[in-house]
Amino acid sequence: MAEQSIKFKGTSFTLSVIHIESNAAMANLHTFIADKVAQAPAFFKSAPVVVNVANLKGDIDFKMIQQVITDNGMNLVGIEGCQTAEQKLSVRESGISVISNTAKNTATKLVPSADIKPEIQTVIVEKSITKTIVHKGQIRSGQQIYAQDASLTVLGNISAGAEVIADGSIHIYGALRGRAIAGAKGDESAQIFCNKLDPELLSINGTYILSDAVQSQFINTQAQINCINNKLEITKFD
Amino acid sequence: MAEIIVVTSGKGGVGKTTTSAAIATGLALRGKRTVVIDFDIGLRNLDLIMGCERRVVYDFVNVINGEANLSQALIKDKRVANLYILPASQTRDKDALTKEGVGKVLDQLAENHDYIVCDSPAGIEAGAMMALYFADIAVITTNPEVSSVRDSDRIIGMLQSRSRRAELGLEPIKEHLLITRYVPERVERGDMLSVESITEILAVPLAGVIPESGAVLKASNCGQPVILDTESDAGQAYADTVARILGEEREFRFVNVEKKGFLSRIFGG
Repeated sequence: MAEQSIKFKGTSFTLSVIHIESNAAMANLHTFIADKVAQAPAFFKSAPVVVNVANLKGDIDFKMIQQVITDNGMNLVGIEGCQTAEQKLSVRESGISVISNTAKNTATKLVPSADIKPEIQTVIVEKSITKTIVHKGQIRSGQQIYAQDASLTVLGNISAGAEVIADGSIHIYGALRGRAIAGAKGDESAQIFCNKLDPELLSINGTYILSDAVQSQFINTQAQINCINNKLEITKFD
Repeated sequence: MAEIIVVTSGKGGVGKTTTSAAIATGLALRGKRTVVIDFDIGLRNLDLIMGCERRVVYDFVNVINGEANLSQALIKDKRVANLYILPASQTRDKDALTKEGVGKVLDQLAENHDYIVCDSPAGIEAGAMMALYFADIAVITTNPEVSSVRDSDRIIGMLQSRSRRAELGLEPIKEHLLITRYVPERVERGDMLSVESITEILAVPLAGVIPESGAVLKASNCGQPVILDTESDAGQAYADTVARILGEEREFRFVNVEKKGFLSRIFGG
């Protein structure tokens, strides 16, 4: 067989989500969205959007929602926040995808049934880490810094026996001689950067390597560490 | 108002007590009214290094507990004017020190001294924390080997987070790095950390490099602070260190391998 040229891969995107807050709002959905689009037509042109219906009750006209989105020049990617199995079925029957936000625990569980065809679910991360915590000065042996839900920038060295942890990326303007743990809550896109690499441990998204796994050509250089397919890759940058 | 100097290291056996004795004596020689306190309760050593072990009647813990007043416990040095020693108790343990008690004694000493030198015990437990808590200046004593450097790094972190100055958000403790037992020949051979690598790891301004010297052991055994041995390399290096702590500029000596001259090569000098 020839080499595979088509692959399925999971990737995260940031999308705009339109939240419809009440059933009453459905009536003037078109005017409301048209007004918004008029404020920034370029931004919304052919924009992929998700509609959140978590606050709507009973039967919802999903075909109408899709029509309104299309009429305003956007593309509906899917419906998020369905409360009941009936709603989900109704969404699928309208030819729209059901999106479940993995960050929240939905009350109802999808029960697989024979008449619902399996479909590929796209995981969409609504929130990405944008906060940054900046630490000025050296982090000494025995000290630990954790940037919760944020990236971490350190202006100074990380001593041997010290530990820096971030849910996002870690940037070190100095030598990394201790441990650096990025993407601590799970984030494969997190990275580690440092001016001088001599670490005890490097970890991204739960994948880690110890100092003896760092190739000697990278020791004491300016380096960037990525996590690609659950493997840490080190590259020099100048 | 007196300045409080803590001599600390984290690791034991690197020369804290030798350094405390030398720096306190050096400050007194420069005319500063100085008292040196042994914080190593239960493992009293400073009195031996200072050569006053036979004159200890009352100690630091007695003063804290109100069993003696300061003037009864302070031992006046017989060689150098302006120098006093406050010995540790050998029969108690480190829990005898309380923050209030230590603070009160230091306040009293501050009234008529220029410098209070606190000789810290090893470790990072209560005794060491008590010694560094009130400090204005820290002398971080380090040997040129990795475990000592790492422990010093740890104690610097403590100085920056657990001291009175850190807790009250005052100007941080002024840090001085002191490297002891340095052998330039071994550094050149690559089996000892160099001054450069130590200062790079610890990122603290260097106040002195004391060479490995037979004079130190000799001085300890006869109860004479090594700084009084002005002929010795270690004594001179400590005198330079005291000058730098007082803000003077001194060139670093004893950090490079001495080129042997023609005569000393012949006579093995």
